Amino acid sequence: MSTILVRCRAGMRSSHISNLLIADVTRQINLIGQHIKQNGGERVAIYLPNSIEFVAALFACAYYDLTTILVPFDKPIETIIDLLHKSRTDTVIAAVGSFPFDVITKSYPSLQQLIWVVDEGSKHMDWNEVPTGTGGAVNVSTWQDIISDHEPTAGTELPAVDRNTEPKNILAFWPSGELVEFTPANIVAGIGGQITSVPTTQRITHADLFLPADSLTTVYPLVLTLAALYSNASVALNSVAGRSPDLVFATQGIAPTIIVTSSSILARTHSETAAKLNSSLYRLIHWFQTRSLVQHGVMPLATVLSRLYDSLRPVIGTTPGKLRLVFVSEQVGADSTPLSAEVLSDLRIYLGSRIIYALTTAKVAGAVTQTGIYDYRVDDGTEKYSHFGVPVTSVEINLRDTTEHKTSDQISAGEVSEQSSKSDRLLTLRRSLPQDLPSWAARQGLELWERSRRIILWP
Amino acid sequence: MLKFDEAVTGLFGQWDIYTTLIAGLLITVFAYQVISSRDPDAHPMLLARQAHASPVRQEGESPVFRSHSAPHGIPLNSGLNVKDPGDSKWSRGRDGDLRDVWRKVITGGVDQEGKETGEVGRILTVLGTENIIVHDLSKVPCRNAE
Repeated sequence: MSTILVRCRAGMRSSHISNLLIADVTRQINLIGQHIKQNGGERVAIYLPNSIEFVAALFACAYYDLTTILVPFDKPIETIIDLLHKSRTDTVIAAVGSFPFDVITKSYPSLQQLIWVVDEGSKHMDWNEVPTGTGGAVNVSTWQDIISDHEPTAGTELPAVDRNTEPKNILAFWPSGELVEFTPANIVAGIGGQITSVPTTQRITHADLFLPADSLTTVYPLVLTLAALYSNASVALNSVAGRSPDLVFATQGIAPTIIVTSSSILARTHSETAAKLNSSLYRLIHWFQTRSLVQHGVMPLATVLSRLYDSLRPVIGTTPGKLRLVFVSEQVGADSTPLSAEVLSDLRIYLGSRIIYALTTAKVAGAVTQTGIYDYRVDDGTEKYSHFGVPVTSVEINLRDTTEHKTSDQISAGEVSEQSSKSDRLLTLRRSLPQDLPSWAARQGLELWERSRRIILWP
Repeated sequence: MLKFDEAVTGLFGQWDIYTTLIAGLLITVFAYQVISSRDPDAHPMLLARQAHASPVRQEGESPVFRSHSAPHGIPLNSGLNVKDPGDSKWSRGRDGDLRDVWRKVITGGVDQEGKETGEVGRILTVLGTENIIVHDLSKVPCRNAE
């Protein structure tokens, strides 16, 4: 396999290859969309690791008027069946070997269609054949057959878009198992919010290589990836993303400039690196670099002394120093690892990149609030969570008084209220939080920094 | 005047190697400060006042907090600001939907005048670890291109 790849590389210019690829993905979008539509599919569950097929399936659903259901990858079989029941799926696109066919057809009889995505290594096997005595009514095909059964010219043009019809909704599961339905308008508001909430000079551009190092079935990385695609950045897809607990492994072979990752991975990177970098000379250098971040408000420059320790820092990608921005999120109501402001400040030094720490909730596509890209401040050290910055441009926050916490002229406090979204195209926080908030705020106390004092949202 | 002259002469008469060292050190420190000082990435005032609270609030509610990039009085950012060919560049774009995201991937970047710049992004599939696929991006798409 690798020889073919090397030959390809020698034979084509990279820009040429990429153009081919985009056209090829367009063809996949069309053919898969048509196939599902012709076979009567309506609610399509995508059960894939991060891959080009994932992206193609997502857009196929958008173009061919299908409801998309993002099923978290690599979950126990009982969970998957439960999620399929909850989402009333009729079509599943799954990676071969990840999806036990007989068990699922038995316990989920409403399944009508199954599309296997077969990897190179097991292409020769006959995946279309349904084992005798199982399946029955399920229409099984493979992604690769659907593509290769058509003429190379078929499906190269995207269908004409009827502006009056909106694509169907996208359903995603929060780690707590809650099923959330996003309208297309929610998703684009999220994408728009993510793009415009970063200063113009730091936005994602076509020069960036964006790597989602977290599963795309989580809405936050998905929205950021779509924002990167919309900004014409190059996007790298790695199937270990979200499963590998190690940032270095997840970024192997490429040199990303922007990554989105989970807080547990970053926390692990931090503890491992901190354990390696514990000499007293390094502590002194680290103190100076932290001072540069916190006191002077600039990213520390590499010096002769700090370069001594480059080998002990995490190696992100093939060209160290390329990474410029890391997105990481805290998931409200899920079991995610807290990152304190000190940890984030250390990680800025270890990774040499800016970090945006975002607060995400189940019902908001993208972030609710995120720290400013230039905000390197460290809190007083008593807080478990770093401060989250301002709402993104597609969200506004409004607090309602509770019996214990009332807004006064000095402080804004209360719970996030439920009504108000001015237009239903925007998910504001208030639509999202009543049920999550007690456990969430009791656990952490969300803080927004406003006029150098904290606003604490309490249940 | 004579006294002043004597004072100055006395001062410089005491100049020795240590004075040179101290003066040299002072100048070095000052020069280093000037050369190495950098402006903060964001003005501290901007960091201290990140959210923008609405000027009035309802009884029993907090003000509405928004980002400075989406000030009160204008609608929140609701989409991708898609401009179809032929739309005025001053008009507000459509919110768009996912289909417009892929359309943008195909057409590539557009400049302010709405002309295509040909900046098309790439999608790379990274297969396996570095042992199987060597550290090069350009060949990765071949899997799909062959």
